[in-house]
Amino acid sequence: MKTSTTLRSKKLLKVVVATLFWFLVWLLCALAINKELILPSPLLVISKMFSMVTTAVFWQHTFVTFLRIIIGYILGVAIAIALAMLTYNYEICDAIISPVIRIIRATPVASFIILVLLWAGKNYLPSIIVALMVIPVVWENLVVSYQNTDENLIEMAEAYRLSKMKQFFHIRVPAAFTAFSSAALTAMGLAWKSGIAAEVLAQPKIAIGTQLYYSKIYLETSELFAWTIVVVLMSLCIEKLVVMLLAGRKDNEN
Amino acid sequence: MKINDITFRYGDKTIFENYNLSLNEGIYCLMGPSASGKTTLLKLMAGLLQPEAGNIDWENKTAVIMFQEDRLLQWYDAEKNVELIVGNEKKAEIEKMFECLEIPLNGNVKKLSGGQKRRIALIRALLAEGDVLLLDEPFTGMDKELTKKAIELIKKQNKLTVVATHSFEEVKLLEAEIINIRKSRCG
Repeated sequence: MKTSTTLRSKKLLKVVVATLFWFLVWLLCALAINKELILPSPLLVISKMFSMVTTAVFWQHTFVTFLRIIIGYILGVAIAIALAMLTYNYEICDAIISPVIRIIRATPVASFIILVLLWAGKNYLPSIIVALMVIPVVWENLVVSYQNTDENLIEMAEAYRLSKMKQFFHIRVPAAFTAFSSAALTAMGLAWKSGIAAEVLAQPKIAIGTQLYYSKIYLETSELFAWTIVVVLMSLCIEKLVVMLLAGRKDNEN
Repeated sequence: MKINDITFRYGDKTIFENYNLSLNEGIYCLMGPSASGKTTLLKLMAGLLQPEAGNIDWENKTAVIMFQEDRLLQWYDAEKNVELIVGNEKKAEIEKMFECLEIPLNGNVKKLSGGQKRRIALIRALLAEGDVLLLDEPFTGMDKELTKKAIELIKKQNKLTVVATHSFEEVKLLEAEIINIRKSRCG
């Protein structure tokens, strides 16, 4: 108990020292450049953030963006799981799905944003883009881990006449869980990046991305920094939440 | 159970050629040097491998195999590993066997010793539905006392049992008939 508390304190201290170091580097650079438009000082950005969070509009933008990205993420993960199951179980599905996923993965996100903007409209665009970015990552990791399931375990299940359904839920799914966890985390990072990029290009009425775009138009660099920090903080919080959820599930299994 | 003229090869290597064997009730021990085909014969008997020629006549009996490796699911505890195969209805029997072979019911499989894992795999095979027991080196990692207890459990099943082993002491304790693979495998 004592050791784990000491370790946690050490870890926290490291994070604080690293944060202070980069804060100082930023401050010194801002002082050296001395142009708010190019690099605002961290103190200015923090004060901007504080003034932003006291307004109702800030929370409105943040909540709607958060919702769009989470909906796209959940949709992407669900579709990826379904496609991975089809790919693994039916050769014809593999032949149909695999090339499409590879094309999606290789297509620049900007091309998708422009195309989906034409097809779906700007309010749905960010969620669709997020789902499109999440699907290949989760799908590929799941398919590879399904294929790499320990064949000895499958042979054991066959020898004990375990039904295909039980084999799937008790062997294939848990065996793929580690790969799924890391894919889910990677996809979460991608979801935020692509979702915000889609908002910047599509500019829905209420969105962090639209605010980022306005900051650029009105040369409000400190606001641009403040919104970016908000996005980074939200992304980190959600990532932490996903890690906790996945770790909780793993503990239950153990 | 009758093995009739089976031939089995791994690539170019012939493991069995026109091999015959007949088993009645009781316990049999498959003996022979490493790589002589003991595991292959058990897998053929279990229907996990198909002979190139010949057949195995089980007369409508079903066989259960305990593999050379433990093949336990790392994400489940010890009890759940057995329960998944044998069903909830045998919970009392599972608990009794776990107690007899000194295994913690909720033990995390990843943290158990090799011998404990072996015993869980043995319990799984003993309680699984089947008329014939095929056990591949079931006592690996067990001390004398535990081996004796495990043998008692095997005998209590009163099933046709085939055990692959290297140990004459185990053969003696099992009061088994020896099948020497090396001598008999080529006809």
